[in-house]
Amino acid sequence: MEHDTAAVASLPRSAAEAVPPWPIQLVVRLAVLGLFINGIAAVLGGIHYLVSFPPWLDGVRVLLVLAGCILTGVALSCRAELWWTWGLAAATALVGWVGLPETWDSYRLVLGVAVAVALGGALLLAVPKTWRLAAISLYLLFHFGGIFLATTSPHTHNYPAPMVTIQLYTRLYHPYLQFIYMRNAYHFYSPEPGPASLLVFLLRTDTGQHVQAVDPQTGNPYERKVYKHQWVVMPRRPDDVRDPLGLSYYRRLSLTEQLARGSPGVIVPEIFEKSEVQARRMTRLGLIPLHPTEPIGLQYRLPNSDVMRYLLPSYASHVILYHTPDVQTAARTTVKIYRLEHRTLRVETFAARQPDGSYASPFHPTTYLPFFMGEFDANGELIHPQDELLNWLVPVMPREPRPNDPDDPFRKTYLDYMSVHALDLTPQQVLRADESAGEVFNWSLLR
Amino acid sequence: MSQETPQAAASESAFPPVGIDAKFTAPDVQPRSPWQRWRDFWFCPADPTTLAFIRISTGLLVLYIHLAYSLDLQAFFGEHGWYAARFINRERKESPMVVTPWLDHWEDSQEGWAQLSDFPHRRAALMRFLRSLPADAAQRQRDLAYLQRIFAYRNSADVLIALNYVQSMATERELERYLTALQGGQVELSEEIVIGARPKSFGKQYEPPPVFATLSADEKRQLAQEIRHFWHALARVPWIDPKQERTYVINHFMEAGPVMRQALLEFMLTLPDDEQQRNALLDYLEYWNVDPRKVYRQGHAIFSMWFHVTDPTAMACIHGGVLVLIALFTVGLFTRVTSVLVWLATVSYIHRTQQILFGMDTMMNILLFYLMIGNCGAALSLDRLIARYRATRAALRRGGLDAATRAFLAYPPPSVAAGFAQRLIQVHFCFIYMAAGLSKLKGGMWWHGQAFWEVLVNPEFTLLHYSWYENTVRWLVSFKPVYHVMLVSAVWFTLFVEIAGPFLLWTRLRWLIIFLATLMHAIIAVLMGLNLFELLMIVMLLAFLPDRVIRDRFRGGSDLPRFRWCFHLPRDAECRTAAWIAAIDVDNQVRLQPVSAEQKTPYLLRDHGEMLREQEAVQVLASSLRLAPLLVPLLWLPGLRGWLTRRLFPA
Repeated sequence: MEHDTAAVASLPRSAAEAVPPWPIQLVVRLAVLGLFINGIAAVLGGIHYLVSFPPWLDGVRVLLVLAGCILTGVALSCRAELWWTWGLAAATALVGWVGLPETWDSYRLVLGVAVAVALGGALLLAVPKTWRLAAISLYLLFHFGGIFLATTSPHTHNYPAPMVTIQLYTRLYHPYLQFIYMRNAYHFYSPEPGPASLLVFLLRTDTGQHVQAVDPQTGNPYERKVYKHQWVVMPRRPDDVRDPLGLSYYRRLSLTEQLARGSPGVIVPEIFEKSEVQARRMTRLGLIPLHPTEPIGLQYRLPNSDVMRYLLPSYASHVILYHTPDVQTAARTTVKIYRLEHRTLRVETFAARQPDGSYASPFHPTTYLPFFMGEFDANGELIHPQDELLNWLVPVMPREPRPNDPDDPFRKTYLDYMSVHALDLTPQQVLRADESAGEVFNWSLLR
Repeated sequence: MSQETPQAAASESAFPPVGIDAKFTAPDVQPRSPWQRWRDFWFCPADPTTLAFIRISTGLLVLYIHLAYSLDLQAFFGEHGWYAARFINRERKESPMVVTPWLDHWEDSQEGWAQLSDFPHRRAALMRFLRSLPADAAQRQRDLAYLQRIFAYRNSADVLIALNYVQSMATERELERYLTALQGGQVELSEEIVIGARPKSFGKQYEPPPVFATLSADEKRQLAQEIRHFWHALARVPWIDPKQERTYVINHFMEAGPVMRQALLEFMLTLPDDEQQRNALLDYLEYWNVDPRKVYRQGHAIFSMWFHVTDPTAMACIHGGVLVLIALFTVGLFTRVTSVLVWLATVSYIHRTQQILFGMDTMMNILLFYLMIGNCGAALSLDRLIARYRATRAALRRGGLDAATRAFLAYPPPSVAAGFAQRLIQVHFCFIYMAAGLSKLKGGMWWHGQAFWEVLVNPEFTLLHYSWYENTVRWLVSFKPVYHVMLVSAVWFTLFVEIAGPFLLWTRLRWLIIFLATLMHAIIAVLMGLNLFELLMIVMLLAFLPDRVIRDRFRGGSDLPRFRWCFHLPRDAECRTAAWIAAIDVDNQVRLQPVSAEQKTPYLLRDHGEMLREQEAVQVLASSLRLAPLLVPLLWLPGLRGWLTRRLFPA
């Protein structure tokens, strides 16, 4: 504050002029200092080409560039009405670009943009006011043109976006809108609000032991590996509600929604795989039937290619690494991923009393449609690409409990084929299993 | 005629013609050109207080959002997070963007892209085939000559038959039999022929397809050579399951369609001889399912410190620094710099892991971007306090507070930058509403009303996991008329606000739309739990409030205590002190009054004449000024009260 200029000789003409401008000397000193600091980083970068540096020096260069840019930014903010401060800012950003390590390529992009913006600012201030307003107006048209095109970019039913949108968006706008993160189409809950999805992971860690077992379908004996199982649900209340407004919960819900992107059925032209997919599914009908009411075409959901290629492997790898104590255990662990689509009850079902006088629960296991998305190892590799139930709906069927049946000790009103599939059990074993003891999936985890 | 004064004549000539009383006529409207209207719309000065309040509201919400990140920093942004660093780093450098030609003619053949199957086992088989193709271009040309021939057939059925033809040649012996039959020779059958087949069918299986039958002998010989080369190319591949994987490759050629077949063939024929380059192309195709040479653009224009920093300790330190930055931005310190740094920092989080984002992040980014453009620190900020100090200090140096300085101290001056930023928020808001509203019309549920039911009872979003909520909804909808009326009211209300709102916001009904929109967002926040998203939308709505609404809410009443701060103007230290008091006196409760040099120290004078000095004055000021409640807790810090006293009363 003590660097104020000497008293302004003339009275300010308006309130806007009441605050004296920052002294030019201060501005120049700050800007030049910022440029100098970035220059040091650039020199270090140049030497690095000749002499190998320890890795931590890259961090020093980054911090130097950050400090230099901030100082010049402060100088610019002090006298933003002068065109040469923008010019100095452009020079600082350019030198900073050189000063940043090559590995920090994304921030080299930022500095490149900063150079362009600063040069643009300098040019605007150097021209008359009318030209300046005209240039800003052109930018406005460009900017909102992009916002508008972004809103027209989604597909609609079977129609792609208009060719004009595709061409302009791809060729001209995409880098700009992506950089400033304004690509959203704002089609919230459109065309229709859909059901939410949860993810259920079954981690299976090979203990190295084996037991004799009988194949439930063929009845043949075989030696089965003994696994340690762990179920993980995402998101889960209240565990994943880690902040007062539940933001951490909704973030996880977004993660699950990413895996919901896909198409029902097998898209043409993969018709050969379609027939094989159906044939493979039919081989397991005896053990895991099709859902009784869902149309068969909707019981197979092929995820989008980006989901299959990168999202699922990444999620699988993360879950295994996060839930295993060390690398060795992770190497022996695989994860089966199920995406549970949670259907909302129709109003007739929700509001009407059932024969036994109770109301239907919106959290009853039969309201969930589990889709098996594959079994992955710790590297994210899909283990069985031709699994019979890959991408298929593994139903949770309603059933009438049998009170006096020893095979139905818990009198379950549903038959959980997801546990049948996940744990390689028979339906009878699942019926007899105690969910609360973790023998099969505990559906109360979802409420 | 009376003698008129020139002034009277001039004023009379300004009135409209006889018969119309000029006093009751509206003033002439000056016509404005489109450019002037545009300029007045976008570049009109506005009170920066509204933008400043938007800054504070946004800052608090952004601070909360990033505080919440502290709990999941590694899970969301770490090296092995949900979207691991190796995936996002590859994506941001390589992700392909393809686009069809723009200036071609309708009769030009379509350009396609080489693509593989999306099924991993089929893709693996295709990749094994592609990787086993000869490095030498001439040899590759020879091996794929058969495909070149058949892919040129106009009739797709002929292509399928020709591919099936090769598919049938399971072994080398079968190959030779087929080729013998193709060239018109006699096929020698062995005992391996299926027992039970009728003699007439022997050899018929080796008959060439009709499309080959019309070729001349020389052409058939050449065709046989091509088939032989292609067959051996398939046989050379190190299959894991030869029969199955060969079939996958042939299947893919069959299913591809003419355009993609040609693209695939072109890809194979134009593979570089150099092994490294060839592998790079094949790796790219395998991962991204597109030929990198046909891509319009590779990679994303995104940035994030989390791409480059994965060490947990370093991440925690940087994250802490970001939180401090957001706090500084919120309180409005060095806003011109902190606003840019905050935007860069928050977008870094956004770009790193887009899978965790939802509408809230979009709105947060929009607000921060436009706040960066406007001078949102010109009011309700520490920057404003600093500016008040500097203005007062400069005025006191000149000999006293002049009219311009007093005006500056009374209100932040209207600013074109603030008006511009507000307009940006307003116009963008209209885009959001319009897109959201019109896109809903695509869905039958929004016409029917079912959309509201889906929202009301979505178990993952709503309060349905609370039994009181479930029971309340059940009771409400148990009355069918209530259910139906509720549904249509909700959807019609939503569609009205979103579609009509962007227009009505520019009319006299602006207040109604602001109210209805706020109501809509509040309901969504309660019903769906998207509190932060809806709060950010409401913050955007603030941009539509008239200039003085926010400012007047912050203005103190006329019942505030008034004081005079008496000091000797020529004493520099006392001038500085006076300037500081003026700086924090945002409601202008203290009038600066220069006094003679007889007074050795400055003093505070109440309205009723009581003179206060030193600690007493500090205490009264701290308890009377409107900003004081923020300072009072600080006075309990040891030594601060004494230090403040010495600063205010240097003598």
